[in-house]
Amino acid sequence: MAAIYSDTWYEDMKALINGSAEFRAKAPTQHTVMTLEVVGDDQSPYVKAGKDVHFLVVLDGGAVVEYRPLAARHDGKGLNFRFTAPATVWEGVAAGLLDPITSGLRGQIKIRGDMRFLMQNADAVKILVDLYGHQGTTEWPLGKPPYS
Amino acid sequence: MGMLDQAFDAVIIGAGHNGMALGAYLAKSGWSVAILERRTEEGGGLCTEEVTEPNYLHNLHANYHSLFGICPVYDDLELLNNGVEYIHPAVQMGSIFADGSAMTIHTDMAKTAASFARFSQKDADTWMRLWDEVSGYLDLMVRTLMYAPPIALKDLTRALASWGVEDKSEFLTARLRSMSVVEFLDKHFENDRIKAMLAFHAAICGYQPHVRGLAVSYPVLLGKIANWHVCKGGSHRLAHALMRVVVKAGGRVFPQVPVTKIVVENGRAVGVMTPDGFVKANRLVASSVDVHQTFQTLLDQEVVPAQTLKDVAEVKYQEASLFNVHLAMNGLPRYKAAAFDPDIDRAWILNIGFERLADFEEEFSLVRAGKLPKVPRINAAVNSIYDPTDAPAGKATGLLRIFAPFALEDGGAEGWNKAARAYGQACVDRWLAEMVEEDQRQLVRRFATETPLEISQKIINYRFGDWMVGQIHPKNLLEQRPTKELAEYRTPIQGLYLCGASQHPHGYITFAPGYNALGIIAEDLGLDKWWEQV
Repeated sequence: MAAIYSDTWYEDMKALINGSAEFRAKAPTQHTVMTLEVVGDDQSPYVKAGKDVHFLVVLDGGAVVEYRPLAARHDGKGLNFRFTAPATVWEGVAAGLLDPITSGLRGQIKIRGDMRFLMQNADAVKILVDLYGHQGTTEWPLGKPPYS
Repeated sequence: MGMLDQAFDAVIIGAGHNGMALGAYLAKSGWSVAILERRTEEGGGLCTEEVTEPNYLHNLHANYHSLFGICPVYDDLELLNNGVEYIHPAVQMGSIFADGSAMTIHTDMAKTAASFARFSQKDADTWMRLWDEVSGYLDLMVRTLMYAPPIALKDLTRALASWGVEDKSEFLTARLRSMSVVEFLDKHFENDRIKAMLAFHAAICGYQPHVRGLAVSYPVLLGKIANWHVCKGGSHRLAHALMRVVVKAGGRVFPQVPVTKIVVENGRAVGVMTPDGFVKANRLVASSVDVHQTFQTLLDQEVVPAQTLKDVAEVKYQEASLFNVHLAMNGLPRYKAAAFDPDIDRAWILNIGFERLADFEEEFSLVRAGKLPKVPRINAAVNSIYDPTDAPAGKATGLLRIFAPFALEDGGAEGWNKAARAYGQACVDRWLAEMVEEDQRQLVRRFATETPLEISQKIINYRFGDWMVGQIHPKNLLEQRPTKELAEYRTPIQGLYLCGASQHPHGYITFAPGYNALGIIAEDLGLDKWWEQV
């Protein structure tokens, strides 16, 4: 079990996704670059208000080829998707407490990019969010959402 | 140097807002751009004229700007820095009912709910749940369903099913694709007048409430119900701003230069003919006029595949056009219904006559039969409530509209020439009947009518007076608009693109057909998408 936002956690997530035969069967084969932006708020002990955490996920050939933290916000060049949400939302999803689709519908997760691509790969998206929320094992050294 | 004997990277047919926006983006990308316009003024439906008296500014066609703040074009082209100013009316819409009661839709949705609650607390609660839900996904849905090339309906509904959206949403279901707006409203609301108010909003957006399948877009429509803006000084200000952007970027707009032919050589569009001669297009020709003009009039028939011509011939237009009555007034209206709801006097857009969902079915049945209702059901807009600059000090302009057939049962389209004045007076009288007594006598100074025939003659894209430039029907939306082959803004003629309101999503001041055509052109020609911010 790796602590959230640790290097090992990113590696574990990549291995988890690539270990899913179901995902590999449904995943798009195109080179697809995504960034996740975790915006600090007053509640998360991991990302304080005014701070951000950014990470990069690159799919290619039906697998995750990169899943790593970024030192700064992605400048958008070559980027296909940008997902942005408050830290409490992302961490709620990672803890299996929040459904990311519902969060997207409520506007808590902002999505930039070609939604047609996500809809055409709806099954892969579903598997991905299930893996992220329900099968990843995450350590919460500063407390698990809702943090108390 | 004149236009003749020049070559441009892009030649755009028509200076409506879609053609102008496409031209502006391309010019800002460093291309040489020529936009050729038949009329004397740019803007197409963004047309403001003094048709009643001097200094009374009337928007003849486009009056409701409901995508400001949502559509990316405003920011990308910095239109607000180029002379456009928008006003966001606090009381967006209202209805006056036969018993003297009234209902209002506000930008402050709590006030809207309070107005609804006077008719049904249950519906007011439902409305707030619906509003909260739609507000969450509006941005996502608008960018998916409007500011992107059309998604296949089957992909959309399959995604909703795969993601289990039905279990997560009270209002979004895969069944929307087979439901009408009426069925949606009947399912979720109980009060006839609230349903009529919400259906009125759909109808003035061009969505006939009884057409099955249109409910699929209804949540997006509802999300914009409080986003209607007045363009200060008249809608033509937006056209002028677009002109400034085009010209500043080095593009050129040529008024009074109608295109008579798109010249095709070896399967490729190489330029256009005008009465003054040939204008060469080095990279592309983009047509913002309707598909019938593009394929049946401007292209030699032998260069177009037979199936394309056949499919274009089957493209349909809206059954309902509009009959407009432009008003010069001695002041702002004061309604008797203000005794019930004082905010009705501040309602920008007003429904008078649609009291229940069945009224819409009756109205559009009459339209289909070429008939006019004896008592007009009115869609009124008094811009001066929020923009006093559109009339002399202390005076006001107004606009009354009714849904109307292009061809009357009695006399066809030309029958309007005989009927217009009397029916215009009937519309004025119907409206004045809702006023306090003093206003009934002296409010209206003068009125000018505009018939569906006149609309179609002034803006020839509005065939049969159809301001949506193509039927709003499941068979003519998304990946089927205007035809399956042409839905992605490309044509079978290399270098010829479509960027007008015949394309997805539809007419109205959306900029979306031009913006989406731009994206396709960028992909095809390797243009850097500086405007796209992922």
